[in-house]
Amino acid sequence: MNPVFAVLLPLCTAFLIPLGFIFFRRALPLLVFSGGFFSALGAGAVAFLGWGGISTVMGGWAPELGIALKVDSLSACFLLLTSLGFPLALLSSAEEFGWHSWRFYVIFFLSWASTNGILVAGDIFNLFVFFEIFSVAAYLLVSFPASSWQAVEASFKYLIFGTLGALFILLGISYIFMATGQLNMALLQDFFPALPGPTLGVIAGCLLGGLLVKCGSAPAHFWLPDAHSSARAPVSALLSGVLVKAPLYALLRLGTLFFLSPFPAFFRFFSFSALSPWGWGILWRCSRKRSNACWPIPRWPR
Amino acid sequence: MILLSYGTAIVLFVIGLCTLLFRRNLFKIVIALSLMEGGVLLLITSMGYIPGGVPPLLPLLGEQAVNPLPQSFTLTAIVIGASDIALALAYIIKIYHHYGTVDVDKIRGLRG
Amino acid sequence: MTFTSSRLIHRIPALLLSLGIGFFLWRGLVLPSFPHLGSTAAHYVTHTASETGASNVVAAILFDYRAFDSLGEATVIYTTVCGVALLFAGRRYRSSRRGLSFVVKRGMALMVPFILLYASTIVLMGHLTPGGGFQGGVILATITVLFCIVYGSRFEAAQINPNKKEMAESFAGLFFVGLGLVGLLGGAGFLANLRAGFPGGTPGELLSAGTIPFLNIAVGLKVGASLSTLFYSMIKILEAPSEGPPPEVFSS
Repeated sequence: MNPVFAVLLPLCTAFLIPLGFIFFRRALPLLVFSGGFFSALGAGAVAFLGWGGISTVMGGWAPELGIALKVDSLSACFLLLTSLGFPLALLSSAEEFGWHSWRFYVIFFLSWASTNGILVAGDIFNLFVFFEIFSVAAYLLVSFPASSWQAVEASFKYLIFGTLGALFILLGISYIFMATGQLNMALLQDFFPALPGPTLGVIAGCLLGGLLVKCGSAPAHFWLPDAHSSARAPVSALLSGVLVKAPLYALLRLGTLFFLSPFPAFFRFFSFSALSPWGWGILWRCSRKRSNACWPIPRWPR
Repeated sequence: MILLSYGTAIVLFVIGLCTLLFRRNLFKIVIALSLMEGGVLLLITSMGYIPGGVPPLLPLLGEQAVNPLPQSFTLTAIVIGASDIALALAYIIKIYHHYGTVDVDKIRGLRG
Repeated sequence: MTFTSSRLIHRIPALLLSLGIGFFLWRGLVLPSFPHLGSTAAHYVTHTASETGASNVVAAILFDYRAFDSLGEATVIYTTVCGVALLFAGRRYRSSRRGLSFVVKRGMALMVPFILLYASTIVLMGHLTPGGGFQGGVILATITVLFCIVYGSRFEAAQINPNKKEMAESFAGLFFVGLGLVGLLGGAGFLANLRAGFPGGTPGELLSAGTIPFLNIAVGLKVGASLSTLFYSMIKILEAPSEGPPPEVFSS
């Protein structure tokens, strides 16, 4: 089972929805639900069959030439999470929003495709590209519907922070390329211990800093309460349940692949930072709906 | 010579970061993002330079071609950056329609 | 945005942070004493003609070796444009009839065929000379942007229906994925070019490099339609600002 299907099925659904709206307007709910069903099925199949580990290269090239896709047990866990979370959010948003604004469903499926793309990426620049699709789709989901000025402002704040994080991630990737000339994550693992100290520090700082900003974890949490409280209920559930997990997965993946040996203390620090006075201060600032967002746990969409 | 390129890229990035942190006009914040992006892209493109290199178009005009990989990354990153900035500008238009101002301090939701 | 206080005492830590980041980046630069192409880049330069049939190594990387990234890049634009169209989709937004003067309109009418020719050259010859789908698509979009500015957006919408632009975007995206699936179903991997059986031709000819010209055309159409929709959405006028600012804001 080629991991690319986890990305292609939601992507093709997203491309088909405008055509469905223009040509077969009555069949739009059927298209959306069947697209959701097959995407969930595809992602689940990739997760189950890839539990032991699959690694393919797009286009049949050698690993250092083409883009590799890689599934292992960590990705499979997160793939199962998305293939459960997204269909539930789809059902809930279909009930809440109806079929009048079909563009919402296009963005929904694109965010699904990009989340799956992040989860199966084996090449670091490909990870960045899918991260950007994911971020843009997340900004747009937060700001839907655009008649609420609060949602638009929260989304703008998220956009500024998210783009800042993305620029730092791009900077980190460019330093990796400068130092090694490689972008395949499996091959990069061997290069990392040999890097000079300052370069390794810059790469770690930029990549991890950028991903922390996108995660909304301390100390760059400023956009998170506004975004979660201004979004509508199904989107907020999707955000806290699924969409925060993608940068978290990237942090885990990059951290364990590249940085675990040089910087074990880093992870201990940040795993305790949520329980520190910092974390409690964030909680104090939040109101009731916002406090649900400050401790994002997967929950059933209401 | 390549140091000048790298230095310019880093200076652009830092100027963009300072502008992002200090300016109150929303448009200037978006321009700051664009500056930062320009700095990063200049850094990426400069990485591929080889002294005495020719453009990577076959048949080669000289002996060594410059590295084509950073150029393809730059093309992709330009498109992605432009999309982000276009979306930011669309949001600014909507915010302006509601508030009549683009000053960050006056717009309630954007403080803090 | 959190440091927008004008007091100097609040600005100094932010300034120090930025300068610190700059210094950190400078220290981390890797400057090889003997700059040379890495093994990957050397392979690309030497084997592009035989493995892909293209003359432009960058286009071969973008649309053959790393074509999946280009699919992702086209999808970023697609997402942004879909979202901006969603933001400005209300009935209170309308297009404008106002254009510029007669001289500008006539001059523009003379120039449009040449701009179209230029854009088509860049798209079609992307595998031979610098250029390609993304660059040519942007130039295609500037034609519609110029229509909006010179003739008014209502004229531009009458020339090219927004629905048709939407269809062009979706069809181009599906075409890209379809070409990739041909390779996958043939057993050569998603987005495979010569390995999937597409004819390579002679490098340097217009009809060469397998799928690369077709991917260029698809991406060019997609980017052109997307940016055109983007500009058209953003240039709409808010008709009756019922949600707008109170009147005293405008008078100050």
